[in-house]
Amino acid sequence: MILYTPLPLERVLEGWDRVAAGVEVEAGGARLLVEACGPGLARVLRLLSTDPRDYLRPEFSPGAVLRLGPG
Amino acid sequence: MSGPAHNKHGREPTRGEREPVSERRYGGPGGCGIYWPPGAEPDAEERPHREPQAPHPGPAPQTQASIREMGVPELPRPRSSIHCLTIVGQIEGHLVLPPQNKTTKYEHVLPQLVALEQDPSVEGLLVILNTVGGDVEAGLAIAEMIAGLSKPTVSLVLGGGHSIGVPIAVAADYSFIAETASMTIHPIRLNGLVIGVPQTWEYLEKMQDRVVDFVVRHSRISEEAFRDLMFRTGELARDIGTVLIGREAVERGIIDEVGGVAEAVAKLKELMAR
Repeated sequence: MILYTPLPLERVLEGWDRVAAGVEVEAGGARLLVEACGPGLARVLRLLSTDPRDYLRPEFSPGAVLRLGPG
Repeated sequence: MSGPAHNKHGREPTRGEREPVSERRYGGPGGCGIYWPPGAEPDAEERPHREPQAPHPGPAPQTQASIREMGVPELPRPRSSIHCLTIVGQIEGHLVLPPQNKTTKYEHVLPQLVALEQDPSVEGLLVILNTVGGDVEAGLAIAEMIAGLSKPTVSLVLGGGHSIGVPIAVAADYSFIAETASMTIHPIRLNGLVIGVPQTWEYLEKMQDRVVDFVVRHSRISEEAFRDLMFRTGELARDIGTVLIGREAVERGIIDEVGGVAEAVAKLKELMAR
């Protein structure tokens, strides 16, 4: 990996050990890699889909928060 | 989703009157039970059992749902024929960057560009950059995708378009830079273990050529002039290279024009009309 940025490397990589792992779930017809971010809430880390249209859906963009239903 | 309850009572349904939970869940039995706010669920229009909604006073059910769930009304969303791609923060490469970084994730951007290319309702792409650079491979991948689109593309550099942001800015058919925006042009560097052998230098030179060649191919600057900017000393405090601000980037032939969002959108519409 070559990082090409004027930012110092130590600033960019600070906290690299705190990177979230995430779990795969199925939602709305697509698979998502999410991390729990509160009671009943999950933050999207990554969309795992081969349908390019899924990538234009705002609720699937990385960082979007989904509400987990009861059960 | 809230249609049937509305029709029956002519008023906002209370919690108990909404559809059973199973109606609102996706993923089927054993799925994770992700809850979609009514109206915001995917393919809401396409669901076969959806009943036509009777006209009723007050805001549309979708707006009501949006106010109830998010606290804000949903703005009417006419479909735009142009799409706007924002390249912000660090362009994330093959390593997931720590959470204090704002990142542009190539694994999401690349399929988005595929979708924009194949969707006939999209006629043009506006790329907005405010980035400090990032991974060379990921940046070049995004730049190549933008350059390879058959639809008109216009880029606008705001704030900063540094390092690997430069190839992304020039990848568009026409590029703009705001008066106050800056672009840092400097050599790439090697991270991690560096072995002190001649091959290390040759490898670095090859990686550098990938960036330089792309910029030269997609802008008006010559290779000599670009390398001259890159290896200049005395301009950057912690590095060699140059910072170009607004008009300077245009004078050097990297960016096509100084302008803001109005000029960028007007240019994109002009390219779309051709």
